[in-house]
Amino acid sequence: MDLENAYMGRILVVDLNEGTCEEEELTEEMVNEHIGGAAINLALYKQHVDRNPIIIGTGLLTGTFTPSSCAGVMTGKSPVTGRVCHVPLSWQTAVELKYSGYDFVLVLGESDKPVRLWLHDELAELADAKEVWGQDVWKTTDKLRYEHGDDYVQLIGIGPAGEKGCRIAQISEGAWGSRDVFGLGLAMGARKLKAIAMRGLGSLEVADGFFDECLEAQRELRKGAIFEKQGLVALLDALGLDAADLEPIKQKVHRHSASFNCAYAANTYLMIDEPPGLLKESKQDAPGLLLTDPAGVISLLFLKEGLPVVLREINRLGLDPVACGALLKKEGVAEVGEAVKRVQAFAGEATDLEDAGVENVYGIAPWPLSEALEARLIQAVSVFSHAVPLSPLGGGWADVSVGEGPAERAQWWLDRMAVSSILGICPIAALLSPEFTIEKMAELGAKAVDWDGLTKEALLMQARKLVKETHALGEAIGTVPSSWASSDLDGALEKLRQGWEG
Amino acid sequence: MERDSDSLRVGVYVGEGASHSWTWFVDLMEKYSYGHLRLIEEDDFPRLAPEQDVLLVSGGDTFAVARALEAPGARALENFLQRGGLYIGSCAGAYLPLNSSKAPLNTFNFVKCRINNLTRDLPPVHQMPLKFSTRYGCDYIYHPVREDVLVRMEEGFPIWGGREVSVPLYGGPPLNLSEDIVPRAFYAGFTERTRFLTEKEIAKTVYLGKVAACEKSFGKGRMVLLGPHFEHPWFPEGNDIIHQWIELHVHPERPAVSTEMNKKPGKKKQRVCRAAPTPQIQKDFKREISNMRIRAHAMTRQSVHWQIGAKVYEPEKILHFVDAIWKRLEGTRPPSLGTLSKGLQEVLVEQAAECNGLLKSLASKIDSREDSEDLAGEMFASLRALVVAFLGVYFSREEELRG
Repeated sequence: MDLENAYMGRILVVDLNEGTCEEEELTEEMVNEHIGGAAINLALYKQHVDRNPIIIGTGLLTGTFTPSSCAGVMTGKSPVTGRVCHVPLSWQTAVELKYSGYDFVLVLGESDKPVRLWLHDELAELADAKEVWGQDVWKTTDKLRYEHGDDYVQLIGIGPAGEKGCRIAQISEGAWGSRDVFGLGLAMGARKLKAIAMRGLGSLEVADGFFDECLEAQRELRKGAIFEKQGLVALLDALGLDAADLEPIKQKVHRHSASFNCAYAANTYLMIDEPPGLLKESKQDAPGLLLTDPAGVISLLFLKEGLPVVLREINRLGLDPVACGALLKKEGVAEVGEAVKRVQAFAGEATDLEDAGVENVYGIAPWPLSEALEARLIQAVSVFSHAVPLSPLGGGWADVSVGEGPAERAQWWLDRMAVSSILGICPIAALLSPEFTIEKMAELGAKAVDWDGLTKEALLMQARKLVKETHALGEAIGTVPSSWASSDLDGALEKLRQGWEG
Repeated sequence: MERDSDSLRVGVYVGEGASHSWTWFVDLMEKYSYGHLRLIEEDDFPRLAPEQDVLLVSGGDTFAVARALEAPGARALENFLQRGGLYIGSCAGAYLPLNSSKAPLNTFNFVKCRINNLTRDLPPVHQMPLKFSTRYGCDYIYHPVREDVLVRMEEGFPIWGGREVSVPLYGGPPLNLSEDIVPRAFYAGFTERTRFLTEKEIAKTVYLGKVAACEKSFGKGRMVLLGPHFEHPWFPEGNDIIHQWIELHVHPERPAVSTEMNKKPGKKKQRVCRAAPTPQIQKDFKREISNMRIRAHAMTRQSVHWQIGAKVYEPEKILHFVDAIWKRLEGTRPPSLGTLSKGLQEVLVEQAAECNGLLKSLASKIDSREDSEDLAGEMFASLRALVVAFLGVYFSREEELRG
């Protein structure tokens, strides 16, 4: 195996109690056994479980020429569910981490004072964070980018919500949120870890012929389900949302942008304080907001024209928009000014969904998208972030050749999420492009590192092991809402679990 | 002169007026394993003859170099040549010894040969106006093209005779034929990567058929003048031509052997770190250099330049200097700081921190749109000093390791 084609060979171990950063080798044996990404994260979690670790990992193919190889994954015990969870990282975050010289960052213990981590050129610095502690996500991002001299510095950070014990706090990738619905923002805040800043100027080796194969795969994807589509609104369209509900957003679209090496531009910038047709740089610092999270948008659609303003505030404060949407709805707040005030109040206290009487599945904010049994099943398994849509995004289930059985459909979704989290493929791309089969992903992975053992079967076996072992860790805090409880759900869940045993 | 490559004493001029391109000569000497490399400043010139066998002078501000060396420097250079030294000058290093009536260049009148890029009436400039011309009395020295050009080596040149090679041109001279020089390469054409700063026809008139490289003998020594930067690290053929020139000078009877001819690119294996512990002081030095590198990379995305002396500096030049250190902190070579005394290590770390501080202040001034020219001058001086100090340590350590 040519490990240098995929990994830098380093695991960073950050001991917050001791205030130290040490390096361990990422061995070929570890990659052989777990492949990468969430599977290695989980192995590290189990190894250090007594210190309640958080692990940020990159996939085997993260940052390579592989289409949509932007993804990384953050693993830890969710303060919301009590279970171990895997939150996908997208945009440029995981790529920057790998190119900074570290494939995995293992965070142990808690600091007694606010700290931040700066990763660059195989160097790790744990620094005092007093200058950014108490600051919102934007100021933290700006300040650290300025401090390190480069706007390309990527961050995983928290806002005041995470610092103040708010259970709906979210980690933020840069300025515009993440897909964290598990309260990992609170997990970072509880450890007094304000931010991880990364800049990667490293590089990977490339196997002969790999580039051409990736280019061909990328061309195929562009011709497929995503042909001539772009932006987050098109994803919402594909999910069957009411066009009238989406109209206020469509009117404010300024531009779309893609995460690293993604064929589909899944992020959409809305202009709020300036005309959406503006073609020059605005004089305002943040004249709009970047939509990166379809789940958050759906949760706030009831705010109509007020959605962008409220979501921008949610992102600034480092809150989970899905949870905020559920709380605002519960409180009957729909007016924009009032909603902003309530959001600010959420971030300032130990806001909790259960205390507020919001129904949830094992503590997770409900995804207000689907009443389908497979969607409830996926949420009940509670392993991967449900901010990622719970169904195929192209032509539906028929397009991915999956039948009508809820357990079968849920398994398809779990397989796609697990494989993409192991390899470092964008989870949205995994749902958008049925052409990007697990077989194709395995083929590219095998080619990348010259590893014959990386087959579709090996990848699926690793994926199901990951789901099973993650699901088994930790105690569930929440309960299935009474309106969801049914023998159908119990039966399907049991069937799903039996499948992993097989 | 008969010396082996590893005992040849090579000096690279890094003093006043030298731009970043001297680091390319350093790379080249390291690539061909020339043993005793010294970084030469203006104060070292009086000791040139006894201490060096080869002197390399790259690009920069020709007037500033001449001002720094003055007449004693010119005499030292003459003495060096008469006693068998080999001078290789590219770009500014090629202009320096050409006959001139203007002080302080007129103390370096070693080669009677006219440049073909001198004009009183500048043609219209199409791009990069700041790089296009330099005032020279009532005239202008002007540069109709930049980047890659094709040169044809003279038939009798070892290995490369009769061949066309691509080399980069950043303001170096096209020379007219003269009885005073032996031409060894002529400008033969342009490539897809040639940037035309004015009309193509003007460029053809100025360069094609003119001398791109020549030599002249002095006593036992020899002077080699190169218009283009044959030493640029991205141009291995040009590098090998310089190597051949040195070999020809020190071993005139030995058959030439090329390491670059017909070479196929091989796969470079990257070293994967095996988590070997690194002493804190080395980490501190690396941290400062890494932080500078990141900031310098970010600055290259900004539209900014500084006029320092007669030369225009862009942020890319910061990166060139920083990379001259960075690439020697990486790779498989033994760490060069490890065997230094703690005091010397601390001095280097302090120097790097100071330079990093200046770079940070410079970035801040650029952000706030303040005038940053003076600070840039200070920062480049500090950075050059840091690189010289580091490479001085690095190469003396290399010599020790070779025994």
